[in-house]
Amino acid sequence: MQENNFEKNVRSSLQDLQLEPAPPVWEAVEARIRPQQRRRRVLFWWLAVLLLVVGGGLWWHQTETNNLKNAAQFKKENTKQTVTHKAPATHNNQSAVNGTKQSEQTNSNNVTGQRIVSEKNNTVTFKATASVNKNVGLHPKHNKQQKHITETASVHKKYAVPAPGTNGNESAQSTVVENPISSTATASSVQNNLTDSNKITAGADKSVTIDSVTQQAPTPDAVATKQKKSFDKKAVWYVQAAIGAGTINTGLFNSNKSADAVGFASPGTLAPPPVYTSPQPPVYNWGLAASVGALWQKPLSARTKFSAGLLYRYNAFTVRPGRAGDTAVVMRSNATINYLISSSGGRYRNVYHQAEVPLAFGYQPLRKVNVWLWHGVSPAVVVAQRTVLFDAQNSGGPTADAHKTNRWQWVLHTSVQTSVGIGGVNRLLLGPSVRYQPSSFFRNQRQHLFEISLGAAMPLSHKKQKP
Amino acid sequence: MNPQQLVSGCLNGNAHAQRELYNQFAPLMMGVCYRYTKSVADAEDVLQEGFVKVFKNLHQYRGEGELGAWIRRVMVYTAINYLKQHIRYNTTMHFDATDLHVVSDDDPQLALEGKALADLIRQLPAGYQTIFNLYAVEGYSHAEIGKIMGIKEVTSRSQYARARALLINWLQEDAQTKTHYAGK
Repeated sequence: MQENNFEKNVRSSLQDLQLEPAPPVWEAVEARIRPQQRRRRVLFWWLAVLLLVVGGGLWWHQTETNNLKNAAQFKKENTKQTVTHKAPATHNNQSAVNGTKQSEQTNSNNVTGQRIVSEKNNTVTFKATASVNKNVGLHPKHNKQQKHITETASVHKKYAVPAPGTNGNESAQSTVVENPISSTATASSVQNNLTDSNKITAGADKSVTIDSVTQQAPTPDAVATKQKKSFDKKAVWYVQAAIGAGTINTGLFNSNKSADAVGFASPGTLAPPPVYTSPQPPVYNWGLAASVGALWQKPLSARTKFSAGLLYRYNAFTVRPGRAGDTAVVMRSNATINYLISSSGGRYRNVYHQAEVPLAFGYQPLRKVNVWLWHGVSPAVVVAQRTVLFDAQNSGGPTADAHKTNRWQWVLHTSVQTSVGIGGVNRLLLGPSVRYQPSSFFRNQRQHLFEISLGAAMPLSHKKQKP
Repeated sequence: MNPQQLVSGCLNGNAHAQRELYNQFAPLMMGVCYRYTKSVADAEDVLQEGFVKVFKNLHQYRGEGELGAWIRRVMVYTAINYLKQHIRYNTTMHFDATDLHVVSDDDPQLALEGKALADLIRQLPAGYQTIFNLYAVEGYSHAEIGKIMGIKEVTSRSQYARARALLINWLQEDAQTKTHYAGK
């Protein structure tokens, strides 16, 4: 057709027509062009939280282990054994007067020995007085509470050491059997003998023998140290079940999203879909959740544990449009069944299935109270069996054709959980739990779940605890 | 920012550049989308989808020609795709090549401009509306329209003729009504 003035006038009149779009259009565009960046950011933060929890737990475990090792090492190093050898006045007076004296002072490995050598007689004589000082410490932090046990022995007589004192020094009773003195021993031999078998054998002549060292009963702190070292390290499997109620923020429907953005259409094969305008403001809806699965608990120290598991969770909650007249779009598993329900503010049920791997660290705040606090994260795969979205009343409504490729939706997410467990190792565990579970469901749409639940866990193998 | 800086900024994922590009071209493109659809909501759907395509395919813009013209072309194709896929538009877009109409040779003066004229065009059946927009406003030939719409060239001609005749008729009626009321 020959173009004339009509077409020219129309073109000049319409080509520069400008209309201001609504602000949500840009928000929707922005959400769709940067969903990957946002997902990456969310993933980064959740990984950071996960690493923090795992790293913190490992650090705690390491610290506890090191403390125990240090305490044991400290105790070992501070068990002092001192042996003092002096020449008996009655036996080597002469040699002490007439002979040339050579003194040797030995102080090694907490053992002090003295030997007096008389060159004139060509003999080595001594009076052996052995004392064993034991510092029993719990922990480097508890230096002030260290107890000293002093065991003293003399070659000449039997004696009883003083009764335990109140000033922090306690003496243990030792028995010394006097042997004939013709000592030709060295300090080191005394030391070795004392260390090895609590017997002092002065050289070949057996001048000094400590038959036995009776030690005082261990102090309460020493008992505590021993208990710390001897916690049951064995891992225990539990079966767990929990039921909870929560509220879910259907904010995922709260801004303009196209059908493509919410996962309806296959990219590239279908038309640009309609915009789903959400209820506004965000509507909180109630739902139920139930979970069942297995838990593995490994004690890290006497008062810390690590737990991992595999749980199945079932979530069902209602959703409703914020405005009467919004249209609900029901998505089902069957790809061909997608239909619309005209709505005037009704409620619809959403169903999600969830497989999660809960990872948690637990600690016992009070030693004598069998209550454990658990903090953890639960990475999960969520599969939506049934989802209802809402179409704004003014968008003209989506068509069934546009949703033929719909399938079950799935998403990866991580929840944060804090719970209280009542019950000890190898016992039935019971306690409430609080969970926050954010999801970036249907690509760039978000939902926030807050849930309170009550759970119980039963050990698979019951073991009697030692009294 | 000039268009070249905008494009490079958007390609680098610069959020400010993306927003700037949108702000610069959205009103004009909303006008395009408005002409092809029947409601503001549909126009905004098309605008949203079109800008998503623009940002995702901006690397294909070689800098040959104006950026605005390239974006407009994306919007037009997005709008046509949208119309094809939606039943409420689809039902009025079936073309019958035998359904020929007399070509109007009238050349009236336009009494309407801008949005008022666009509103009149939007009252045409969807098929007429699309072909009228493509031919009269965008300047595509009937051969090109035939390829875009998947119809024969002759069908495009006949549909355009009917659309043009209808529109002129409405314009004349409108002018007469105005004259009538002005006389009273």
